[in-house]
Amino acid sequence: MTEGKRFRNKLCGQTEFLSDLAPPGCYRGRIIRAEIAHGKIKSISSPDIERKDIYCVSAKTIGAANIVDMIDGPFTLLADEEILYFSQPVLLVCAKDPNKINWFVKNTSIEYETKESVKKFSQAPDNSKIQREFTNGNAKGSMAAAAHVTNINFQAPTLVPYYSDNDGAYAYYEAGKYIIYTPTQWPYHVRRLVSGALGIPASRIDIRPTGISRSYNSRLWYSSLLAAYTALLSRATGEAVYLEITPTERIRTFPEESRMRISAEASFDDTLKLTGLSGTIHFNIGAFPVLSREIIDRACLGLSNVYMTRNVHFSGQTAVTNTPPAGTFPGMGTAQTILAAEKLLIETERILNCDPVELRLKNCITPGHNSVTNGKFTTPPVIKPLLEGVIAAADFRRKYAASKINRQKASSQLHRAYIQHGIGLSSGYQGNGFINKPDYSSYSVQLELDSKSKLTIRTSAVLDNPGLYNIWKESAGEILGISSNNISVNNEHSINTPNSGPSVFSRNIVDIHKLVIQCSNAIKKKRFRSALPIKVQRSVKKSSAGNWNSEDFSGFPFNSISWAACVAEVMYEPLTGIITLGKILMHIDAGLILNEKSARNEIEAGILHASEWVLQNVLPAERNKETTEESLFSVPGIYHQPQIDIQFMNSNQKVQPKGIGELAINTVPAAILHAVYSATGIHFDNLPVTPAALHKRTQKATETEVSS
Amino acid sequence: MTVSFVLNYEDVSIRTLSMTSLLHILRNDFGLKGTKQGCRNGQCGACTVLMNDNPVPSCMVPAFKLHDTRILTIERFAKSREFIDIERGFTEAGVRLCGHCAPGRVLTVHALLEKYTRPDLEEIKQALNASRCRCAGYSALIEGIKIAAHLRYNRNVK
Repeated sequence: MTEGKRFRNKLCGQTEFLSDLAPPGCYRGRIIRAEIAHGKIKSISSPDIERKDIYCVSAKTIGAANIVDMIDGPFTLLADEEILYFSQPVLLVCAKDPNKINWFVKNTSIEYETKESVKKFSQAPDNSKIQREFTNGNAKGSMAAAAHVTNINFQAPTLVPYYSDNDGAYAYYEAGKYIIYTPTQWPYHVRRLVSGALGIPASRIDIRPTGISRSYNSRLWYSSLLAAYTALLSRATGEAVYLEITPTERIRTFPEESRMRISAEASFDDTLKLTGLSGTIHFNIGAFPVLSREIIDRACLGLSNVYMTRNVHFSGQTAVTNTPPAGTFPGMGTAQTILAAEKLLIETERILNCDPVELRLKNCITPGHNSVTNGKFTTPPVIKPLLEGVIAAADFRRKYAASKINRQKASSQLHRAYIQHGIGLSSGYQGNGFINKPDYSSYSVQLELDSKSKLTIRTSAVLDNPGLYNIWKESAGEILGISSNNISVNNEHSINTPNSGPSVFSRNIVDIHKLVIQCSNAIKKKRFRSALPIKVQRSVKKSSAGNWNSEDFSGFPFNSISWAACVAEVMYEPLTGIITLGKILMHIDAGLILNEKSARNEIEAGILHASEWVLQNVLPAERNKETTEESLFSVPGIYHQPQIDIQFMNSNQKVQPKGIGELAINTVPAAILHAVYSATGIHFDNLPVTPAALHKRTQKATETEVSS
Repeated sequence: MTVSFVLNYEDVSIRTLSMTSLLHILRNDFGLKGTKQGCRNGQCGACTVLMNDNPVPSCMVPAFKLHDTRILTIERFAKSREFIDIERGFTEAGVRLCGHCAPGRVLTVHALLEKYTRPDLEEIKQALNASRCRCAGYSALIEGIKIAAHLRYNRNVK
């Protein structure tokens, strides 16, 4: 399919999403979930379903393995005796008539013996905690000898999972194979999990990814679980089954996307040079760990952000609790701790009344420095020129000074009603590639040149960005002298494609693109020497380039690093407490940018997501209760988009593309928070910064003023 | 109840419950799955169709309101010259869409361009405010609409 046809199909509504797949009259599945957070199932009483065309699967009747390998270890598909979290699946039921399912659900009762549940990290027993420690130099000594020490303690905000499409899967059995449609970022993981659940070889399972919205990492593993449930129901019925998670069910049961509490301290000498950093990250992983080691390690590395000090001590702890398993989320821990690192600087500026520009420029990594883990950067760090560029382009110093004067004026009642402008600065990075789990970091791409000189690129990579198809085709076409029209990408059926790993951490642009080039060069060498067709497969198995040792945190952890500096401008209306994001300016170094329009779109989407995270996103406090769908769809619209100016500062055109997907979520939140501080004089510990939160803080300040 | 209306320029009538949504009728009774099912709450804009030339979220339109109305869905609109203008505009501007919100947005843009020959930024913002998606920013979309407006205007002048 050509790129033009693919785009036309999207506009015409021809792209098939999960909700488009269920044929009328097919079996529809539903999950019956636990209604307590922790306890034992005493009994399950369900109505007689014989001759009623209703099928039910429980832990007792599951047939194959109820415990499957879910990335970090064993994962229970259906609760057997013990309930480990609220909404844990207990029974799977399906019928062709939805009324029959309702009847079954209504007449099914589960009796529980409730046990005390652990919901918070602090309540978790020590033996459920996993600790990761990283020490370099003497952070404790530097704190003791410092001229100034800054502390912060904050809870990284939770991201509401948003998709306009359903979650779930559609599965049927055909010609000896299970065919499964699901929106996933990792078809081979779905295949592996379904294979484990059904107890059949993976070669008998064909995964066909449906249309997917912009990847938000949550579909890294949750789709696999839903696909396994659907496949189990399909086996029970012997027919096609469609399982759909409605938006309300999703918000009640979906894995939360961040439950991290970070406390950190930074020490400075009397010239405001950073002398030491230490931090503790508590990560509530829920009832089962899924990629939690990767997340906590990335979080530890993110705490030093782009700043350099020889004395660091980071401690990351994960704890198992009676809450739904924590999902993976944008930044995978990095976004949360980069925000913490930048908060340390905002707090330092607040206390010492120092210059935010000097504070950052003085302490950022410059060429010649090694990484905080003593690894050599694969390309020299360029954060200082990026910061200098963005500061000059935004006229930051003048605007910041003006906002400071305005803030001082606003402390008098006379000026309190005026709109305040604020400007904030931040910097950050995106580390590409997995830093743990090398078995999940192996991936392959296959290219075949057939006898009619048509080239096929085979990969299981899932693309949320259709522009990438063009990038791969153009790169391969340029090497082999073939027109893009004669090149096709086959990534629709997992059974015909090699394992290209999970589509996350910008791997499609960084790694898969590299493999496409390698395969093309290999075909070029063989072409005119070997008979057609020529088939070439190339694989990468190493997770990172810089001798990274994940056990002792030494070496350089990432395949490559992309850098960004950001300035945000906000307006604060004291009367209403509304913060409006006016402008975002970003200077980015992400190596070679292959498609600038596509890259801008990617960054813009990230900026909107970041602004939502800081200013808007509120997960209903009581997830356990029925929630309205309004909360699910309170995503930024066109009126929320600020003026955006993105500059790609490609310091070295020879550097391969490095990925940009998570640069905005890693960098922009801190700039917005800094701008909010600049406008209001309040440094928020908890996000989002809503009018209610602002009102609470300003009222508190006024009461203090009045009483004094 | 039986409702009669004009669907994609053809007279149709259907027997249904009065509160059945237009979205359900289009997708399940007429098999028009180009109208995507999103929030089912009138907020995301994925299910937008044109009702008497105005964009409406079809999930919020009950069957009893369909009497004597004209409904246009993406399946029919995609065969028009106006669609090609929008497609070209979006392609030239590098608009990125996941495909779930895209059909609704295309129809919204068509309604906008029918109303305003050269819509200004505020008019574009007003039109697109009912459509929410996390796939991409709006800059390319705004640019794409301006190009589409230009193409349509030039074609109409000729």
